[in-house]
Amino acid sequence: MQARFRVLWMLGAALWLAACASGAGGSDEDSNPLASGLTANFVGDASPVCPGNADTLSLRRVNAVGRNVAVGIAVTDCDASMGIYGVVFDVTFDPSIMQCASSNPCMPGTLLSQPLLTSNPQCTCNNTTGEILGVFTRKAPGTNESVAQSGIEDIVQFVMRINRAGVGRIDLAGTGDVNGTALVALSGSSPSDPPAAIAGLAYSGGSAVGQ
Amino acid sequence: MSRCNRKGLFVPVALALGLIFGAPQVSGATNGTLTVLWDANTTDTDLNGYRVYLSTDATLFNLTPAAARPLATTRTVGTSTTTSVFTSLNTASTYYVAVTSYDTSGNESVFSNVASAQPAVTPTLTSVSPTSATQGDTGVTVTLNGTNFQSGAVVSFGPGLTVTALNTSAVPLRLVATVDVETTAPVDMRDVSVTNPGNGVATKTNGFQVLLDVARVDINQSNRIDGGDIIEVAAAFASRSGDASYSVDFDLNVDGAVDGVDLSFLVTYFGSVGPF
Repeated sequence: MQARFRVLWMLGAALWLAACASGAGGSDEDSNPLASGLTANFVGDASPVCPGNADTLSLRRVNAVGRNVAVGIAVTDCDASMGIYGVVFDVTFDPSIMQCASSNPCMPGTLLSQPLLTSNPQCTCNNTTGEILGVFTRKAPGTNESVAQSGIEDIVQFVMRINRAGVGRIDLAGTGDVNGTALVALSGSSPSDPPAAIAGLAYSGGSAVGQ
Repeated sequence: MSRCNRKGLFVPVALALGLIFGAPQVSGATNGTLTVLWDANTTDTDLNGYRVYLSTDATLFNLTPAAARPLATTRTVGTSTTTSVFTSLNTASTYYVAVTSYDTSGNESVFSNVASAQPAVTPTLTSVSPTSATQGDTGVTVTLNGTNFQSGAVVSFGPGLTVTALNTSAVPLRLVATVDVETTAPVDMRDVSVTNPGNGVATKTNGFQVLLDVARVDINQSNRIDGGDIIEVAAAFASRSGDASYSVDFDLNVDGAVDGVDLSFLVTYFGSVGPF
């Protein structure tokens, strides 16, 4: 009996060691209890309603896959009155909850069509301060775009990667300013007619959730 | 009837004598060349040729041509020739040149005007240091090393760069230029050239680079290079110098076009925060 017990004990120890060895070979991500099993989501602050409301530039969820969530910078134009040349944006985020999925986490949305100044939005991400600066425009002297009445379209999308459980804000900063966040229109083709921010927009952000 | 028949003396018509310096293939400080050019005699029907007088003694030309001839280096050329090249001259000396014309009877005119010059010395330019400066820099000290530099040499860095002073105290081996770079100097590689007084030229291809002043990328001077700046450039995109939408403020590399190169500068510095 004792010998049989010793064999079982050794077999159990071997299985335990094998399990430990298997665990040691996994990724850091998997061994991080904060990140393990996380799924990402994003909840926008507002759902634009037309007519009667202001035109909006807001953040909304596009999709979420595992720890990554794609967020759209969405444009609504309740009366189809805006001529949109492009967008500049200054997005702030909570770096303790999320990071940019890549150094240029931005993708074109559906609003701007060719010819574009750059095929992809130009973005830069600072994961320390939690800020994305970006710009995406048509190629001058191209015509402005417009959003169908009561329609909603993303002008840019960006992907964030959740790195821990919790809720973190994502907001549009410096709104209404071409050095912050604004939709932009071209009033002319001369340097004396510089691009201008489209006035009268309502802005809103949202919360990214890691759970 | 020729003038010499009328006056008994051949009247000079080759009054416009110009000198240019020799071909740059001449090398070595003692192998200079001198090219003499003069206007043709178009008035004398019995013109037979020209005689070129060369000397390091200017007073020789106070004599008559006949008296000066045995004391000078002379060369006769036909009526269809109005240029003559002297080679293997001492580059350290100043040479004086005059031309006469003579007719079929052997009458010779008086001297033309006397021109003087030093034979060409072809310099070499081996290095330039530093090799770059930024738009808007002033008083940049640039050292040029090489051979055969002469006092009176002229240094050129191309458009937008001005040599405000040139120290020639270390010739023939070194020149030290003080350079101002215009704020809108084209951003590119430059050929640096040294031209000696005799037009001997040395060039260092792509020897100097003008760098972009990053402050210019902050076009709207918001102290941050961001979308606002790209939007400004975008509004003028594809414009060329002379177009209504063109401005050198958007043409960051100052090549006369607002294009992808300018955009690439913005992308490179995108997100940078000043002060610049």
